[in-house]
Amino acid sequence: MESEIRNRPSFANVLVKLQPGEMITAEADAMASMSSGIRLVTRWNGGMFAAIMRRLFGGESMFVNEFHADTPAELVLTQALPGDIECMQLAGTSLFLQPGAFLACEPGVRLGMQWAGFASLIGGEGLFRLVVSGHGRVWFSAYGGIYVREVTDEYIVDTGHLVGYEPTVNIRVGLPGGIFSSFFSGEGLVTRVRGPGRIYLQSRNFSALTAWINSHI
Amino acid sequence: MNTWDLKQEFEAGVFSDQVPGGRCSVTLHCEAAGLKAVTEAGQEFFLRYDQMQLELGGASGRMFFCRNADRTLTLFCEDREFRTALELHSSTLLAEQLAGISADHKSNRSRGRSILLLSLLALGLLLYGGYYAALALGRVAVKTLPVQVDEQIGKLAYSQMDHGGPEITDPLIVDSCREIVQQLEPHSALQGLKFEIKVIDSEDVNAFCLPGGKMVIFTGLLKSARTPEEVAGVISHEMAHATLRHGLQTVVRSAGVIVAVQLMVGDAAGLVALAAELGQQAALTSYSRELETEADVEGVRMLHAAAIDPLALALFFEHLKEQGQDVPAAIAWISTHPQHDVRIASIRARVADLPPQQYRSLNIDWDGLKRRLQK
Repeated sequence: MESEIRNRPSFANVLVKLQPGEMITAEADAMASMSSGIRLVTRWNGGMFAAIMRRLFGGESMFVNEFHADTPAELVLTQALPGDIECMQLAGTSLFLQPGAFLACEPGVRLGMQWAGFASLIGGEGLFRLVVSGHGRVWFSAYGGIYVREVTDEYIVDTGHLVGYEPTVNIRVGLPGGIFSSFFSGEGLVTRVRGPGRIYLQSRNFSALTAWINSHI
Repeated sequence: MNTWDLKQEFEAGVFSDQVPGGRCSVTLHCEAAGLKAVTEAGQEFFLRYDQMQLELGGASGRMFFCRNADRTLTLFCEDREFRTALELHSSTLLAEQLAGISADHKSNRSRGRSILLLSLLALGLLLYGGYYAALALGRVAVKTLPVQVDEQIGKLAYSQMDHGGPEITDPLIVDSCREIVQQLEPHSALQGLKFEIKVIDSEDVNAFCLPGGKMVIFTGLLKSARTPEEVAGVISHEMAHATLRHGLQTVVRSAGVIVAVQLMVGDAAGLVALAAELGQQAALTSYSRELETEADVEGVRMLHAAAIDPLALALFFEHLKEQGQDVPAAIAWISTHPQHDVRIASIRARVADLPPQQYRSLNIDWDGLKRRLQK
């Protein structure tokens, strides 16, 4: 399967070229265009119960779409928000994704849900997190650009900017400074990330945008 | 437990510059001298127990990181049995580090629980304080609103509601009710409110007063009352809801302080419609227990000031209770609330504490009114 992330970083989309017998799984409503020969199969996102859990707590769709090619075909996948898309190759490894970040994956990748803890809830990221594991490529999207940090010790990220992280990374929610400066600096709560591991960040914060719009209407 | 009873292989991972991308998954083997990690490509790594530095972390907080001295090689594993395997295979070499990790882990969990408990407590206090602060703000906001707001809401609510029967125009009946209101009106806590009386032909033992002073009295109430003072008791209670602006307070409580603020600063037709609906709902169903008690207290005060025997209010409630009749919906909780008797006793106690007063009979043709109601 060939793939190319185009129109980066603002309006990224994934062009996927499927050979006969190949298949890709994508988030519901991710398809922008496709060859007429592609067979679309919609299934529960990992079983009915798990799908409902993902919908309720993971911010993901209850259904995912499988795009099967019987003849050479192409497919364009995109996301709702303006922003970049990143591809990661899983080699028996795992990656945690924040709600709404998952876009697509190859057949060898499993989608799961894991308890994220109350710290995650307080940080505005929900009680559960999506975990992708197995072998194959996974595509995830963000609002704005995506940048990667290799964290060896501690690193601070504003809540709402974290897109994904490896399971070796520990996440805690805390204050960026003292109580006064934390509240009056406008930074509020931050995520304290402790490595080793890789984290994926988005350059824009969608919650901040909605808050800004709310303040102007 | 012996080492041969233990799981020997674990799914794990490695951080090393020697693998593409700096990390990959490995199969970890616990051996006598150290940990052997084998990648899917067959690449091998070995980390001796006597050179190993342990750390707990990861997203779950239960992941073991095993590092060499210069941190160029890190093996990590999250398997629940890994710790025990490490402990037994390494003999006493890692005992001190493992004990330290256990202590830190317990301490972190304990601290985490304390923080969670404190956070929940703080959240509870915040919600509790916020609720009462909003109530207090609501009261202040309502007091600043002109009476015309009450009138506007009451007028709209009245025009939209189903009155439950035809209006009675018999002057004897209507004027009798008006006479009671006129006796009480000068002692109202809110000046500038104009009370308008409508009598509706309905068997409901009911009366209500909308914000702004539009009052509806059902003939069922007049039929059930034994004296005009009992009617005056109920009317005083209902008037108190209007003079204390309970309808508006309920609106503010329901729709938030913003509604009150916007009512003050702008002519928002949609908000007024919403307020009318809420006000109508509040007047027709029941106010909160706190507001009902306030209306009792204020009703008794008005009756006493108007030289109408306030005990009649308690007597009427007792009478309804004995008769097992429906009570006015607006004071419905009197009959349904388990503390009904307490409330009647409270009215009686309040009446007993009032300064002496020469109560007068109401100048109403009560027998004539009763006869007209029978027709």
